[in-house]
Amino acid sequence: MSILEVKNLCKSYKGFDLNNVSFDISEGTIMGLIGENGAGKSTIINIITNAVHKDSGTVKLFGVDLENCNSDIWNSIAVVQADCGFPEELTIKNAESVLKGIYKNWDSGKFESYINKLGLDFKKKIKSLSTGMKMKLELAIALSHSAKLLILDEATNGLDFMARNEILDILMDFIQDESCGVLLASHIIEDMERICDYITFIHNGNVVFSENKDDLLDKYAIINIDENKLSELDSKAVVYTDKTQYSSKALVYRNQIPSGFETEKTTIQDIMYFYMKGGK
Amino acid sequence: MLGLMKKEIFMMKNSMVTAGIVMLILTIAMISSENAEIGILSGYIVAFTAISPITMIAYDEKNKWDRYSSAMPATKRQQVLCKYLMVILNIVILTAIFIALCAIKGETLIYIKGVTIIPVVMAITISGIELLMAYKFGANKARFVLIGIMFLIVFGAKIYGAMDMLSVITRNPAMFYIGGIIVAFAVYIASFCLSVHFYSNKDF
Repeated sequence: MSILEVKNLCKSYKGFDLNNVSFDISEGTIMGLIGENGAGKSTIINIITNAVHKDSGTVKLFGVDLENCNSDIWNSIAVVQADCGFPEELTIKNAESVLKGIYKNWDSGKFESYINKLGLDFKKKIKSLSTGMKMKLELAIALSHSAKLLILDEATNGLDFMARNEILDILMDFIQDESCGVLLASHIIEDMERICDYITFIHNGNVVFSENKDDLLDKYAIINIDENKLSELDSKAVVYTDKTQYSSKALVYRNQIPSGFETEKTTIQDIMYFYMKGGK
Repeated sequence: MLGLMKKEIFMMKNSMVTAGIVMLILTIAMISSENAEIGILSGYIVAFTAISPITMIAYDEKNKWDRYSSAMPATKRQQVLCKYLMVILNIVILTAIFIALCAIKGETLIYIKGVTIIPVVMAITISGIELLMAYKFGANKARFVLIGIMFLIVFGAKIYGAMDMLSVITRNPAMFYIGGIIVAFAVYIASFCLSVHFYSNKDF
Protein backbone atom coordinates (compact mmCIF):
# COMPACT_ATOMS: atom_id res chain seq x y z
CA MET A 1 0.00 0.00 0.00
CA SER A 2 1.16 3.55 -0.72
CA ILE A 3 1.73 5.59 2.40
CA LEU A 4 2.19 8.75 0.36
CA GLU A 5 0.95 9.36 -3.17
CA VAL A 6 1.77 12.57 -5.02
CA LYS A 7 0.23 13.02 -8.49
CA ASN A 8 0.75 15.91 -10.88
CA LEU A 9 1.46 18.36 -8.10
CA CYS A 10 1.78 21.95 -9.27
CA LYS A 11 2.57 25.16 -7.44
CA SER A 12 3.59 28.52 -8.85
CA TYR A 13 5.54 31.27 -7.17
CA LYS A 14 7.03 34.36 -8.73
CA GLY A 15 10.00 33.08 -10.70
CA PHE A 16 9.50 29.41 -9.83
CA ASP A 17 7.08 26.70 -10.90
CA LEU A 18 6.63 23.22 -9.55
CA ASN A 19 5.40 21.19 -12.52
CA ASN A 20 3.46 17.94 -12.39
CA VAL A 21 5.49 16.31 -9.64
CA SER A 22 4.52 12.67 -9.13
CA PHE A 23 5.98 9.99 -6.90
CA ASP A 24 4.84 7.60 -4.23
CA ILE A 25 6.20 5.91 -1.13
CA SER A 26 5.30 2.33 -0.29
CA GLU A 27 5.34 0.73 3.12
CA GLY A 28 8.77 -0.33 4.34
CA THR A 29 10.72 1.98 2.02
CA ILE A 30 12.80 5.14 2.23
CA MET A 31 12.35 7.64 -0.60
CA GLY A 32 15.12 10.14 -1.15
CA LEU A 33 14.07 13.47 -2.61
CA ILE A 34 17.16 15.06 -4.08
CA GLY A 35 17.87 18.20 -6.00
CA GLU A 36 19.97 21.30 -5.95
CA ASN A 37 19.14 24.29 -3.72
CA GLY A 38 15.93 25.85 -4.93
CA ALA A 39 14.84 22.80 -6.91
CA GLY A 40 11.51 22.58 -5.11
CA LYS A 41 12.10 19.90 -2.46
CA SER A 42 10.93 22.03 0.47
CA THR A 43 7.94 23.29 -1.53
CA ILE A 44 6.85 19.69 -2.11
CA ILE A 45 7.27 18.86 1.57
CA ASN A 46 5.45 22.00 2.70
CA ILE A 47 2.50 21.04 0.49
CA ILE A 48 2.47 17.46 1.82
CA THR A 49 2.60 18.73 5.42
CA ASN A 50 -0.26 21.19 4.83
CA ALA A 51 1.90 24.28 5.37
CA VAL A 52 1.40 25.48 1.78
CA HIS A 53 -1.64 25.23 -0.50
CA LYS A 54 -1.12 23.47 -3.83
CA ASP A 55 -2.36 24.97 -7.11
CA SER A 56 -3.35 21.60 -8.58
CA GLY A 57 -2.69 17.88 -8.34
CA THR A 58 -3.41 15.37 -5.62
CA VAL A 59 -1.65 14.35 -2.44
CA LYS A 60 -2.86 11.28 -0.59
CA LEU A 61 -1.67 10.24 2.85
CA PHE A 62 -2.49 6.62 3.72
CA GLY A 63 -4.96 6.64 0.86
CA VAL A 64 -6.80 9.76 2.09
CA ASP A 65 -6.79 12.99 0.12
CA LEU A 66 -4.85 15.76 1.88
CA GLU A 67 -7.91 17.96 2.13
CA ASN A 68 -9.82 15.22 3.98
CA CYS A 69 -7.09 14.17 6.39
CA ASN A 70 -8.31 14.03 9.96
CA SER A 71 -6.42 13.98 13.26
CA ASP A 72 -5.87 10.19 13.02
CA ILE A 73 -3.87 10.67 9.83
CA TRP A 74 -1.83 13.56 11.24
CA ASN A 75 -1.14 11.52 14.39
CA SER A 76 0.64 9.04 12.11
CA ILE A 77 2.91 11.59 10.50
CA ALA A 78 6.07 13.13 11.89
CA VAL A 79 8.07 15.95 10.35
CA VAL A 80 11.64 17.01 11.02
CA GLN A 81 12.76 20.23 9.36
CA ALA A 82 16.13 21.92 9.53
CA ASP A 83 14.95 25.49 9.97
CA CYS A 84 11.87 25.18 12.13
CA GLY A 85 10.77 23.26 15.16
CA PHE A 86 9.70 23.52 18.69
CA PRO A 87 9.73 26.96 20.37
CA GLU A 88 13.24 27.51 21.65
CA GLU A 89 12.10 29.30 24.79
CA LEU A 90 10.83 26.01 26.24
CA THR A 91 12.78 23.28 27.99
CA ILE A 92 12.71 19.71 26.67
CA LYS A 93 10.49 18.82 29.62
CA ASN A 94 8.02 21.58 28.72
CA ALA A 95 8.08 20.39 25.10
CA GLU A 96 7.16 16.88 26.18
CA SER A 97 4.29 18.19 28.28
CA VAL A 98 2.95 20.07 25.26
CA LEU A 99 3.32 17.12 22.91
CA LYS A 100 1.57 14.75 25.33
CA GLY A 101 -1.49 16.96 24.97
CA ILE A 102 -1.28 17.05 21.14
CA TYR A 103 -0.51 13.47 20.07
CA LYS A 104 -2.90 10.77 21.26
CA ASN A 105 -0.24 8.05 20.86
CA TRP A 106 2.49 9.96 22.68
CA ASP A 107 4.83 7.51 24.42
CA SER A 108 6.66 9.20 27.29
CA GLY A 109 8.79 6.13 27.99
CA LYS A 110 10.01 5.99 24.40
CA PHE A 111 10.73 9.74 24.38
CA GLU A 112 12.71 9.50 27.60
CA SER A 113 14.74 6.60 26.26
CA TYR A 114 15.54 8.50 23.03
CA ILE A 115 16.51 11.61 25.03
CA ASN A 116 18.86 9.53 27.19
CA LYS A 117 20.24 7.59 24.22
CA LEU A 118 20.93 10.81 22.30
CA GLY A 119 22.62 12.44 25.29
CA LEU A 120 20.09 15.25 25.84
CA ASP A 121 19.00 16.83 29.13
CA PHE A 122 15.31 17.35 29.97
CA LYS A 123 16.01 20.51 31.95
CA LYS A 124 17.84 22.30 29.16
CA LYS A 125 16.17 25.03 27.14
CA ILE A 126 15.92 24.20 23.46
CA LYS A 127 17.73 27.43 22.51
CA SER A 128 20.80 26.30 24.44
CA LEU A 129 21.14 23.15 22.31
CA SER A 130 23.59 22.95 19.41
CA THR A 131 22.32 22.43 15.83
CA GLY A 132 23.00 18.71 16.04
CA MET A 133 21.29 18.36 19.42
CA LYS A 134 18.21 20.25 18.18
CA MET A 135 17.98 17.89 15.24
CA LYS A 136 18.27 14.90 17.56
CA LEU A 137 15.51 16.35 19.74
CA GLU A 138 13.26 16.83 16.70
CA LEU A 139 13.93 13.25 15.71
CA ALA A 140 13.20 11.98 19.24
CA ILE A 141 9.88 13.87 19.11
CA ALA A 142 9.12 12.42 15.68
CA LEU A 143 9.76 8.85 16.84
CA SER A 144 7.78 9.04 20.07
CA HIS A 145 4.20 9.08 18.84
CA SER A 146 4.03 5.89 16.74
CA ALA A 147 4.32 7.72 13.44
CA LYS A 148 4.08 5.62 10.30
CA LEU A 149 5.40 8.24 7.90
CA LEU A 150 8.52 10.21 8.75
CA ILE A 151 9.30 13.27 6.63
CA LEU A 152 12.71 14.88 6.94
CA ASP A 153 13.56 18.12 5.15
CA GLU A 154 17.31 18.82 5.07
CA ALA A 155 17.48 17.28 8.54
CA THR A 156 21.15 16.35 8.29
CA ASN A 157 22.34 19.75 7.06
CA GLY A 158 25.02 21.39 9.15
CA LEU A 159 25.69 18.21 11.11
CA ASP A 160 29.07 16.60 11.48
CA PHE A 161 29.78 13.16 10.07
CA MET A 162 29.15 11.33 13.37
CA ALA A 163 25.85 13.12 14.07
CA ARG A 164 24.65 12.43 10.52
CA ASN A 165 25.49 8.77 10.79
CA GLU A 166 23.73 8.56 14.14
CA ILE A 167 20.56 9.99 12.59
CA LEU A 168 20.76 7.75 9.54
CA ASP A 169 21.14 4.70 11.80
CA ILE A 170 18.00 5.74 13.65
CA LEU A 171 16.15 5.98 10.34
CA MET A 172 17.32 2.51 9.35
CA ASP A 173 15.97 1.16 12.67
CA PHE A 174 12.69 2.99 12.12
CA ILE A 175 12.15 1.37 8.75
CA GLN A 176 12.58 -2.13 10.20
CA ASP A 177 8.85 -1.80 10.87
CA GLU A 178 7.62 -2.79 7.42
CA SER A 179 4.45 -0.70 7.82
CA CYS A 180 6.42 2.57 8.01
CA GLY A 181 7.88 4.83 5.36
CA VAL A 182 10.36 7.69 5.18
CA LEU A 183 10.61 10.68 2.87
CA LEU A 184 14.09 12.16 3.15
CA ALA A 185 14.78 15.42 1.31
CA SER A 186 18.39 16.46 1.11
CA HIS A 187 21.13 17.58 -1.19
CA ILE A 188 23.68 15.42 0.68
CA ILE A 189 23.96 12.59 -1.83
CA GLU A 190 26.09 10.34 0.38
CA ASP A 191 23.21 10.05 2.87
CA MET A 192 20.81 9.13 0.07
CA GLU A 193 23.07 6.52 -1.41
CA ARG A 194 23.57 4.97 1.99
CA ILE A 195 19.99 4.43 3.08
CA CYS A 196 17.41 5.21 0.39
CA ASP A 197 15.52 2.54 -1.52
CA TYR A 198 14.08 4.95 -4.08
CA ILE A 199 15.31 8.27 -5.43
CA THR A 200 13.24 11.11 -6.85
CA PHE A 201 15.39 13.76 -8.49
CA ILE A 202 13.89 17.25 -8.76
CA HIS A 203 15.50 19.85 -11.00
CA ASN A 204 14.03 23.33 -11.54
CA GLY A 205 10.65 22.21 -10.25
CA ASN A 206 10.43 19.14 -12.50
CA VAL A 207 10.84 15.46 -11.69
CA VAL A 208 13.74 14.15 -13.76
CA PHE A 209 13.33 10.58 -12.52
CA SER A 210 11.72 8.67 -9.68
CA GLU A 211 13.15 5.16 -9.51
CA ASN A 212 14.53 2.37 -7.40
CA LYS A 213 18.07 3.35 -6.39
CA ASP A 214 19.72 0.06 -7.35
CA ASP A 215 17.93 -0.01 -10.72
CA LEU A 216 19.09 3.56 -11.29
CA LEU A 217 22.70 2.74 -10.61
CA ASP A 218 22.48 -0.27 -12.93
CA LYS A 219 20.71 1.70 -15.65
CA TYR A 220 23.44 4.25 -16.22
CA ALA A 221 27.17 4.13 -16.79
CA ILE A 222 29.94 6.63 -17.37
CA ILE A 223 32.33 6.36 -20.26
CA ASN A 224 35.48 8.34 -20.93
CA ILE A 225 35.40 9.06 -24.60
CA ASP A 226 36.93 11.15 -27.39
CA GLU A 227 35.05 12.78 -30.28
CA ASN A 228 35.74 9.93 -32.73
CA LYS A 229 34.48 7.23 -30.40
CA LEU A 230 31.46 9.37 -29.45
CA SER A 231 30.21 9.34 -33.02
CA GLU A 232 30.16 5.51 -32.94
CA LEU A 233 27.50 5.58 -30.24
CA ASP A 234 23.82 5.68 -30.92
CA SER A 235 22.74 9.20 -29.88
CA LYS A 236 19.78 7.70 -28.01
CA ALA A 237 22.23 5.86 -25.75
CA VAL A 238 23.84 9.08 -24.54
CA VAL A 239 22.15 11.16 -21.85
CA TYR A 240 24.75 13.94 -21.91
CA THR A 241 28.37 14.45 -22.78
CA ASP A 242 30.49 16.67 -20.59
CA LYS A 243 33.30 17.98 -22.77
CA THR A 244 36.43 19.59 -21.40
CA GLN A 245 39.55 20.77 -23.23
CA TYR A 246 41.31 17.45 -22.75
CA SER A 247 38.63 14.80 -22.47
CA SER A 248 34.95 13.99 -22.59
CA LYS A 249 32.82 12.01 -20.24
CA ALA A 250 29.38 10.79 -21.16
CA LEU A 251 26.50 9.48 -19.10
CA VAL A 252 25.00 6.62 -21.07
CA TYR A 253 22.31 3.96 -20.80
CA ARG A 254 24.32 0.89 -19.89
CA ASN A 255 22.27 -1.62 -21.88
CA GLN A 256 22.54 0.43 -25.09
CA ILE A 257 26.34 0.57 -25.19
CA PRO A 258 28.19 -1.83 -27.54
CA SER A 259 30.47 -4.32 -25.83
CA GLY A 260 33.76 -2.71 -26.91
CA PHE A 261 33.31 0.34 -24.67
CA GLU A 262 34.80 0.47 -21.20
CA THR A 263 32.25 1.73 -18.69
CA GLU A 264 32.58 3.00 -15.13
CA LYS A 265 30.11 2.62 -12.33
CA THR A 266 28.00 5.68 -11.72
CA THR A 267 26.91 7.29 -8.52
CA ILE A 268 23.72 9.20 -7.86
CA GLN A 269 25.83 12.34 -7.82
CA ASP A 270 27.17 11.60 -11.32
CA ILE A 271 23.66 11.03 -12.66
CA MET A 272 22.43 14.29 -11.11
CA TYR A 273 25.43 16.19 -12.42
CA PHE A 274 24.91 15.10 -16.01
CA TYR A 275 21.19 15.74 -15.96
CA MET A 276 21.69 19.17 -14.46
CA LYS A 277 24.29 19.99 -17.09
CA GLY A 278 21.76 19.39 -19.81
CA GLY A 279 20.86 15.74 -19.98
CA LYS A 280 17.47 14.75 -21.34
CA MET B 1 -6.00 21.37 22.16
CA LEU B 2 -4.74 20.91 25.74
CA GLY B 3 -1.20 20.67 24.42
CA LEU B 4 -1.58 23.86 22.40
CA MET B 5 -2.89 25.74 25.46
CA LYS B 6 0.04 24.45 27.50
CA LYS B 7 2.40 25.77 24.85
CA GLU B 8 0.82 29.25 25.04
CA ILE B 9 0.95 29.19 28.84
CA PHE B 10 4.60 28.13 28.88
CA MET B 11 5.49 30.84 26.34
CA MET B 12 3.61 33.60 28.20
CA LYS B 13 4.40 32.45 31.74
CA ASN B 14 7.36 34.79 32.24
CA SER B 15 5.45 37.79 30.87
CA MET B 16 2.47 37.03 33.12
CA VAL B 17 4.65 36.67 36.21
CA THR B 18 6.39 39.97 35.38
CA ALA B 19 3.02 41.68 34.90
CA GLY B 20 1.77 40.37 38.24
CA ILE B 21 4.93 41.52 40.03
CA VAL B 22 4.73 44.99 38.44
CA MET B 23 1.11 45.32 39.55
CA LEU B 24 2.05 44.22 43.07
CA ILE B 25 4.94 46.69 43.32
CA LEU B 26 2.79 49.55 42.01
CA THR B 27 0.02 48.66 44.45
CA ILE B 28 2.45 48.63 47.38
CA ALA B 29 3.64 52.05 46.28
CA MET B 30 0.04 53.24 46.03
CA ILE B 31 -0.99 51.77 49.38
CA SER B 32 1.83 53.68 51.03
CA SER B 33 0.58 56.91 49.43
CA GLU B 34 -2.77 58.14 50.73
CA ASN B 35 -3.65 60.13 47.63
CA ALA B 36 -2.76 57.55 44.97
CA GLU B 37 -5.65 56.31 42.85
CA ILE B 38 -5.33 52.52 42.44
CA GLY B 39 -7.87 52.58 39.61
CA ILE B 40 -5.08 53.80 37.34
CA LEU B 41 -3.58 50.32 37.60
CA SER B 42 -6.51 48.96 35.57
CA GLY B 43 -4.92 50.70 32.58
CA TYR B 44 -2.09 48.22 32.97
CA ILE B 45 -4.55 45.39 32.25
CA VAL B 46 -5.45 47.10 28.98
CA ALA B 47 -1.84 47.76 28.02
CA PHE B 48 -0.59 44.25 28.82
CA THR B 49 -3.44 42.41 27.11
CA ALA B 50 -3.13 44.68 24.07
CA ILE B 51 0.53 43.70 23.68
CA SER B 52 0.12 39.99 24.48
CA PRO B 53 -1.38 38.96 21.08
CA ILE B 54 1.58 40.52 19.30
CA THR B 55 3.99 38.79 21.70
CA MET B 56 2.39 35.38 21.14
CA ILE B 57 2.34 35.66 17.37
CA ALA B 58 5.85 37.14 17.24
CA TYR B 59 7.16 34.11 19.16
CA ASP B 60 5.43 31.80 16.66
CA GLU B 61 6.86 33.69 13.70
CA LYS B 62 10.37 33.60 15.20
CA ASN B 63 10.20 29.84 15.77
CA LYS B 64 8.36 29.12 12.48
CA TRP B 65 5.85 27.31 14.65
CA ASP B 66 3.05 27.67 12.09
CA ARG B 67 4.93 25.63 9.49
CA TYR B 68 6.05 23.08 12.09
CA SER B 69 2.57 22.63 13.54
CA SER B 70 0.81 22.31 10.16
CA ALA B 71 1.46 18.56 10.21
CA MET B 72 0.24 18.13 13.79
CA PRO B 73 -3.15 16.65 14.68
CA ALA B 74 -4.50 20.10 15.57
CA THR B 75 -6.71 22.07 13.23
CA LYS B 76 -6.01 25.66 12.25
CA ARG B 77 -9.18 26.59 14.12
CA GLN B 78 -7.84 25.04 17.31
CA GLN B 79 -4.53 26.86 16.90
CA VAL B 80 -6.31 30.21 16.61
CA LEU B 81 -8.73 29.38 19.42
CA CYS B 82 -5.83 28.78 21.82
CA LYS B 83 -4.51 32.28 21.26
CA TYR B 84 -7.94 33.81 21.84
CA LEU B 85 -8.47 31.77 24.99
CA MET B 86 -5.00 32.69 26.24
CA VAL B 87 -5.79 36.39 25.96
CA ILE B 88 -9.04 35.91 27.91
CA LEU B 89 -7.05 33.95 30.51
CA ASN B 90 -4.58 36.85 30.76
CA ILE B 91 -7.44 39.31 31.28
CA VAL B 92 -9.10 37.09 33.92
CA ILE B 93 -5.86 36.58 35.86
CA LEU B 94 -4.77 40.23 35.79
CA THR B 95 -8.29 41.42 36.66
CA ALA B 96 -8.42 38.99 39.59
CA ILE B 97 -5.04 40.27 40.83
CA PHE B 98 -6.23 43.87 40.41
CA ILE B 99 -9.52 43.23 42.30
CA ALA B 100 -7.58 41.50 45.09
CA LEU B 101 -5.19 44.47 45.34
CA CYS B 102 -8.10 46.93 45.41
CA ALA B 103 -9.68 44.89 48.21
CA ILE B 104 -6.39 44.91 50.14
CA LYS B 105 -6.28 48.69 49.78
CA GLY B 106 -9.81 48.79 51.22
CA GLU B 107 -11.68 50.08 48.16
CA THR B 108 -15.47 49.70 47.98
CA LEU B 109 -17.26 47.26 45.68
CA ILE B 110 -18.83 50.11 43.71
CA TYR B 111 -15.40 51.66 43.16
CA ILE B 112 -13.90 48.31 42.13
CA LYS B 113 -16.75 47.71 39.67
CA GLY B 114 -16.32 51.19 38.27
CA VAL B 115 -12.59 50.90 37.62
CA THR B 116 -12.66 47.28 36.39
CA ILE B 117 -15.45 46.80 33.88
CA ILE B 118 -14.55 49.50 31.36
CA PRO B 119 -10.83 48.59 31.20
CA VAL B 120 -11.82 44.90 30.80
CA VAL B 121 -14.17 45.84 27.96
CA MET B 122 -11.38 47.85 26.35
CA ALA B 123 -8.89 45.00 26.87
CA ILE B 124 -11.19 42.45 25.16
CA THR B 125 -11.97 44.78 22.26
CA ILE B 126 -8.42 45.96 21.62
CA SER B 127 -6.88 42.49 21.91
CA GLY B 128 -9.54 41.11 19.55
CA ILE B 129 -8.55 43.72 16.98
CA GLU B 130 -4.84 43.09 17.61
CA LEU B 131 -5.18 39.34 17.14
CA LEU B 132 -7.03 39.84 13.87
CA MET B 133 -4.41 42.30 12.62
CA ALA B 134 -1.58 39.97 13.67
CA TYR B 135 -3.15 36.99 11.89
CA LYS B 136 -3.80 39.01 8.76
CA PHE B 137 -0.64 41.13 8.53
CA GLY B 138 1.86 39.60 10.97
CA ALA B 139 3.16 40.71 14.37
CA ASN B 140 5.28 43.57 13.06
CA LYS B 141 2.48 45.38 11.26
CA ALA B 142 0.05 44.67 14.11
CA ARG B 143 2.34 46.71 16.39
CA PHE B 144 1.66 49.79 14.25
CA VAL B 145 -2.07 49.15 14.51
CA LEU B 146 -1.70 49.00 18.30
CA ILE B 147 0.15 52.31 18.34
CA GLY B 148 -2.64 53.75 16.20
CA ILE B 149 -5.33 52.48 18.58
CA MET B 150 -3.51 53.88 21.63
CA PHE B 151 -3.10 57.19 19.86
CA LEU B 152 -6.83 57.29 19.04
CA ILE B 153 -7.76 56.58 22.67
CA VAL B 154 -5.51 59.32 23.99
CA PHE B 155 -6.50 61.72 21.21
CA GLY B 156 -10.21 60.96 21.70
CA ALA B 157 -9.94 61.48 25.46
CA LYS B 158 -8.16 64.78 24.89
CA ILE B 159 -10.62 66.07 22.30
CA TYR B 160 -13.80 64.89 23.97
CA GLY B 161 -12.46 65.26 27.46
CA ALA B 162 -11.96 62.26 29.72
CA MET B 163 -14.18 63.72 32.45
CA ASP B 164 -17.00 64.36 29.98
CA MET B 165 -16.82 60.72 28.86
CA LEU B 166 -16.93 59.53 32.48
CA SER B 167 -19.95 61.68 33.26
CA VAL B 168 -21.85 60.19 30.30
CA ILE B 169 -21.09 56.71 31.63
CA THR B 170 -22.04 57.46 35.25
CA ARG B 171 -25.49 58.76 34.18
CA ASN B 172 -26.49 55.18 33.25
CA PRO B 173 -23.63 52.88 34.23
CA ALA B 174 -25.52 49.59 33.92
CA MET B 175 -26.34 50.28 30.27
CA PHE B 176 -22.72 51.08 29.45
CA TYR B 177 -21.35 48.13 31.38
CA ILE B 178 -23.74 45.57 29.88
CA GLY B 179 -23.66 47.14 26.43
CA GLY B 180 -19.89 47.43 26.57
CA ILE B 181 -19.45 43.76 27.50
CA ILE B 182 -21.82 42.65 24.72
CA VAL B 183 -20.07 44.80 22.11
CA ALA B 184 -16.62 43.68 23.31
CA PHE B 185 -17.48 40.00 23.04
CA ALA B 186 -19.20 40.51 19.69
CA VAL B 187 -16.03 42.14 18.35
CA TYR B 188 -13.91 39.35 19.88
CA ILE B 189 -16.00 36.55 18.35
CA ALA B 190 -16.11 38.26 14.94
CA SER B 191 -12.35 38.73 15.16
CA PHE B 192 -11.94 35.01 15.95
CA CYS B 193 -14.01 33.94 12.93
CA LEU B 194 -12.04 36.19 10.59
CA SER B 195 -8.71 35.12 12.09
CA VAL B 196 -9.56 31.44 11.47
CA HIS B 197 -10.36 32.30 7.85
CA PHE B 198 -7.10 34.21 7.30
CA TYR B 199 -4.95 31.64 9.12
CA SER B 200 -6.49 28.70 7.23
CA ASN B 201 -5.73 30.31 3.89
CA LYS B 202 -2.16 31.33 4.67
CA ASP B 203 0.93 29.68 3.21
CA PHE B 204 3.81 29.29 5.68
